[in-house]
Amino acid sequence: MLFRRPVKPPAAEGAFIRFESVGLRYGLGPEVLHDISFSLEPGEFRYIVGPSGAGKTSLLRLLYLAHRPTRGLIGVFGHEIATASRADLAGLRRRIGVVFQDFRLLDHLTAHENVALPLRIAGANEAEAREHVTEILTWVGLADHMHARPATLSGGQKQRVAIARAVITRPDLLVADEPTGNLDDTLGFRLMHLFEELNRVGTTVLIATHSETLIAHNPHPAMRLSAGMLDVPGSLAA
Amino acid sequence: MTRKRSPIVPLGRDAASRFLPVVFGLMVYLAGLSLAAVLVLSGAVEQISRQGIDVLTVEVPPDEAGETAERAARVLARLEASPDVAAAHLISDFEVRALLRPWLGADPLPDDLAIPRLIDVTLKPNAEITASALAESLAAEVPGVRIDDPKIWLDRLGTFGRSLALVAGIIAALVIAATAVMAVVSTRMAISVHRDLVELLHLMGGRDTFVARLFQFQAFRVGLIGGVIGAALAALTLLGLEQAGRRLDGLLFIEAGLDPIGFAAIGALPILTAALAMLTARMTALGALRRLP
Ligand SMILES: Nc1ncnc2c1ncn2[C@@H]1O[C@H](COP(=O)(O)OP(=O)(O)O)[C@@H](O)[C@H]1O
Ligand SMILES: [Mg+2]
Repeated sequence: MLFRRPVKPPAAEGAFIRFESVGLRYGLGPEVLHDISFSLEPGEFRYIVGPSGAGKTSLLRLLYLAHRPTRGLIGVFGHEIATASRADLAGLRRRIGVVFQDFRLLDHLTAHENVALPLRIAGANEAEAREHVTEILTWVGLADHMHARPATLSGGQKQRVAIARAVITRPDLLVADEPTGNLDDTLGFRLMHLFEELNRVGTTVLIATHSETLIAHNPHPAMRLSAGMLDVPGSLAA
Repeated sequence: MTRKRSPIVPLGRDAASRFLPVVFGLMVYLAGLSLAAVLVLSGAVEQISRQGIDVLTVEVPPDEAGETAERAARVLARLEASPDVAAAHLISDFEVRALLRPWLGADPLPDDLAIPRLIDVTLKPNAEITASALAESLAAEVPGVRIDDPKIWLDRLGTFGRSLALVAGIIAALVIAATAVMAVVSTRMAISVHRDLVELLHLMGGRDTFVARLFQFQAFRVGLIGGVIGAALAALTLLGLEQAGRRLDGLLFIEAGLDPIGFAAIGALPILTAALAMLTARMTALGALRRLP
């Protein structure tokens, strides 16, 4: 062998999700995340709370592998991402379901086709996939809107399509960025119910929000982010 | 219910997808014509180089006294004795006058006008002697004898033909390069228009080859459509030219035309264009995707 395999830093060993002294800056701009350290265990349900601009989206983007950190180590499902191969990273991404703040649905596809997308990427059997997508859309209460395009759906309906798409492959980790952000409280609480159901069947859930009402209504441990610094309660510290 | 699956990237709706086949068609049309020019010209050059090697015309001018018959007879005898000559044929006075008529007019030529005699010589297929060597040895025997060697101007014509073929080949190569550049630019454009979608597919765990395939398939489609249009127009143009050229039959001493192989090459252009566009798009897309984390 010409090259030695790099020795994996111990940070990633065994941990489900682990951030260690992670810092992030965009281009040459100021650092927006400083010394972020925390870990997540399988089956947890946790919030990241913080005011707008605190860096919640940036932290989640690091977690779902949309960005590389400027410094520090990130371990995902026991893999140190700095040393993972491109193919490994694609595999890790398939195990993370993401509900984006702005949904990111494809306007030219129906709700059904949008939800089927991760299965198409994974190369799943088409007939089975179709059936599975129908089930999930029924679960989120969109049985009557299977073939509607996003443009004809309400905000709450789009949000539920986005959730269905994020969980269609039964990911190990579900990440949601302000999923109730532009919904009224009743709709928001109903969505939270979906997340709790998923968590009950074993999916680890991490939700970023700025809504204290939401946390009061659905209490789970919360990490607080302000001005790029993470405050992890003692009971959660790694 | 078997619904057709919508394409993941709606490339068919981009403004570019409407004019790209036209541009590709134009490229293929030009490539087809220049390719045909290369084939026709090299075919003609080959025919030229095969011709005139074994046929010479010996010219016996009159001497100061205006005498030609006896001089021509001596040259003819000399030629017939030569081991390199297969046949020598004295062109009759009548034939020579007929040959001269277009230059000298229809009026009967005065009988005392001294007209050179011409001898058609066919060399043996493997004759080693050159026209100028033969001319030298004949002139030693009968002063003033000249040989009109068609090889010299045929050579010049051949060189000219080869230059034309080279230029046509360069044009074909440039057009092909421009087609590849078009594929690169249009793929870059498509990727940048659908940047968000590409990132989304990447974040869902789509591998680079999976995402690239979405773009390379579109390039293949556009290349094929444009290729078929361009090749069909090129074939029509060539058939038209061939039709027009047939009226010149007999005036041209070579058969200039595209053979079935040439038309097959034009017919293969759409597939080649589609394959070129697809490969270029694939490489471009993979290069762009590698920049994602
Ligand atoms: N793509 C980007 N380029 C440069 N700066 C960014 C980018 N995204 C976010 N930021 C900056 O990073 C900081 C944190 O933003 P963000 O992570 O979106 O916070 P939150 O999601 O908590 O509102 C803000 O100051 C924001 O301006
Ligand atoms: Mg945000």
